[in-house]
Amino acid sequence: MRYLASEAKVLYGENIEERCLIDQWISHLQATFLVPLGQFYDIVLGRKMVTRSRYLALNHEIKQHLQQLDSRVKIQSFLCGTYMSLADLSLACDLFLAYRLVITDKYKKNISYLMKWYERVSRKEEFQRVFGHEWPCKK
Amino acid sequence: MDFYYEVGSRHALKVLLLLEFCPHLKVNLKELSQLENRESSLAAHY
Repeated sequence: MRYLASEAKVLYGENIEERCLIDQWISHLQATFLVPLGQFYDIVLGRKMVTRSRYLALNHEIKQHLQQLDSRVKIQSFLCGTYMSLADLSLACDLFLAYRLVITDKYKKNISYLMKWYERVSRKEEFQRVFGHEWPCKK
Repeated sequence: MDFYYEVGSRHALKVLLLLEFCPHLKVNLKELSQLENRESSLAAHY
């Protein structure tokens, strides 16, 4: 993905500092947030069975990560600053299932900045061509 | 979407989305899919 973005000169920063920041965010998310999120999706989609306590622990861990991300996009429009980057695209792809299946209206109030960020990204025509129009979790 | 099922990961969706943002980039999805599979096999092996 990084190779393609660098070849296309799209979403991958305009200088070495921006690229480093984008790389740092992608790697950070892969090493932290995406690990419990992937396990959580496996449970929600019925691929894996776990105990209730494990489920609640994962839920708690994911919420902590979401809060951290919310704080990040509270001070800046996008993860790496004022421009949309590969890191935003990557995170939005990982969150789209959570947005549809897990993050309820009630919980959205706790991560309102992250939700605004998600809507900014998911409103893009390119995003809708791959994922279709967004529909939020109802329950 | 065949590409998505071949690779079978969210990563593939990210690549598809990225390609939407850079339509000028000519990519052979089948070759890319084979490359991804090779990388996954190597990663699993090591």
